Amino acid sequence: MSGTNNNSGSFEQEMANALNGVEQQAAPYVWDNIEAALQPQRGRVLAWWFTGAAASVLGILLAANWLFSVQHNHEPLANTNLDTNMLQEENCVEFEFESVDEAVAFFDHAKVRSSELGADPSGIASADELDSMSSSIGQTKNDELSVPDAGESLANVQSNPWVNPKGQAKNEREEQVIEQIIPVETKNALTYLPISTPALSSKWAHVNRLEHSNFQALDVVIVPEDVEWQDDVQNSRHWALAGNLGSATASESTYGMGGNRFGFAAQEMNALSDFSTPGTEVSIDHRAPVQLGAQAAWGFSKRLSLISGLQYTGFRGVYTLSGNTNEQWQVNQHFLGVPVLLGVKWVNQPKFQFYSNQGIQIDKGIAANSKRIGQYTSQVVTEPGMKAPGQMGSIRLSMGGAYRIRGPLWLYSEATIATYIMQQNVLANAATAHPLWPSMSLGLRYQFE
Amino acid sequence: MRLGCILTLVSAPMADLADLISGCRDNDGKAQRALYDLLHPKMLGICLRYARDVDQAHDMLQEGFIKVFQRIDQFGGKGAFEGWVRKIIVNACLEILRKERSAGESIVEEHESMLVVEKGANPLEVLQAQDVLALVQQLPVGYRTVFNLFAIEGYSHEEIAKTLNVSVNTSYSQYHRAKAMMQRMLNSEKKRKIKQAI
Repeated sequence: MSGTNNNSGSFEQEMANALNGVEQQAAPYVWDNIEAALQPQRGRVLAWWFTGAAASVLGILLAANWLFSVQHNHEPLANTNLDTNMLQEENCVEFEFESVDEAVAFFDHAKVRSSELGADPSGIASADELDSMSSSIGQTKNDELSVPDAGESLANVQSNPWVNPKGQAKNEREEQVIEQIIPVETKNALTYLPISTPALSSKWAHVNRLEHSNFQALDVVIVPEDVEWQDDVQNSRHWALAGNLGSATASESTYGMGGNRFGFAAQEMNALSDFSTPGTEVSIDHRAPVQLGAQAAWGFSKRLSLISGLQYTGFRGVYTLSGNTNEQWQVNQHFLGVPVLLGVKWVNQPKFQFYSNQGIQIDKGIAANSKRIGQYTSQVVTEPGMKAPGQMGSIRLSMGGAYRIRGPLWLYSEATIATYIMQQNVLANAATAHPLWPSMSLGLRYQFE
Repeated sequence: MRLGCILTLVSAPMADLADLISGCRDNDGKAQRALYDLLHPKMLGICLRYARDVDQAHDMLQEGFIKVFQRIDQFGGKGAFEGWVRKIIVNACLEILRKERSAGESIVEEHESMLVVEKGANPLEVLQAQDVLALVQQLPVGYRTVFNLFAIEGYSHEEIAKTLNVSVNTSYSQYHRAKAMMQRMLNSEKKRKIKQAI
């Protein structure tokens, strides 16, 4: 067909002479792709190719189908049951006031905050009630009581929107009290959490261990919201002011809190075990997370490559409180992760790759929010400023397929099994719920050699 | 190894080429690699003329060579093997361009104003092959395709019309517009080069 136009024009001839001599070495990946495409013809790896490609496609389809059905049917990917229905030492955080005045100041503040959150603050004790309580055990509100160390800098606390929403502490002593309330280790992680979420209660309590021996005089105990007080305390010589985060049930000897959000109960107590009664069960349904990535892969040999980039993971969990209270909270957490992976290409076609990746990934929380859902949807309370807490480190193995979009740019989809070797200040999520967490992710990969 | 193969082939092209073709027919990986090493620089030069950039040229080369190896049984030994390979490579280029967009559509109107041909000394005397290639790549895809097929590959307008599924008139007019545009760009580039030299 070619060479039939009898082209004798000087321009055409000169152009042909100029351009026919152009030669250029091709990039190494071109031959790799050609060779990979020709491998089936050589017969040796025909079975491997079909088996690998079919298995990867089938695996991806099955995993995607499972994840989508999970989403569609609103079935949880995983479930976490928080062990917060028994009041135990590790469930509580303790702090102390120097005097009743300070306690009153604190609860005045709590009342204000309770109102701001839309709760009924009427159940919070008044100054007179506190005074009466302290008098009945031979204490006066001016008694000097032991005060533990305030802890770290107060500056961090002042930015806490829960305890001090406007950053306007009344005085230094109040700040010290506040400082003691907020667990130092998780301060940055938890300060923006809605106060009534069981996750907060659990995490809060987990970090701060309550010691019996330190439980003296006017102590305040923060307990998970789903713990019910018991009033059969005997032989008590000390009073405790208890700030309950949720649904404490008032009884004859308990000054119960009336607000849904914050309050306290005054309790004559001898030992913490006296509080322990079955209470609310908390169940967290973890929805299938969304994972998107952008990666760069350096192929340092025919089959092997080093991969890194950014991976976004969006977790969604529904916290259901049943028993003494019926609430549902939806908590969304957003993480950004950096993987470092060794990639092995099992099938390497010009347009398609089947591969496995193995390595580590560090994830850091970047944002989060929560809202109340379910039967109280009309009373939605959103905490837009909530921060996703913590860091997670994992070891992971992925199997996936990649489609070449153009040049070195590939679209990949992969199924991953990850086990988390590090979880610092992380709220419950799908990754923390599974010892071996399965997930699907989608992304773009720039492959170069 | 690659250099060794090339040197060997250059020194005894005919006998070795026949061996390579025979090896490729037996799906011998080493023979395929040697044949690729021998021919791919020139074939990439062809692809670069049809492609908008190096990445696309690599795609064309890759698809073309896969077809060469897959169809090597169809080479009957009549005519030059390199010409047979070249034809497959050109077809692979056209196939990729066809997938991307139909050559010859709506390009004529876009560049109507570029028909003016500047006159002067032959710019090809000043420019290097890579410069000319870069200018070819700047042509719109329809112009570029017809220009390559007619001016370089030597297709007739009837053949181009049949290959690209356009009318003969379209092929004819596109070529002349491409030629005019090319001449204009060559002259501009020549002037730029001369200024640089001065």
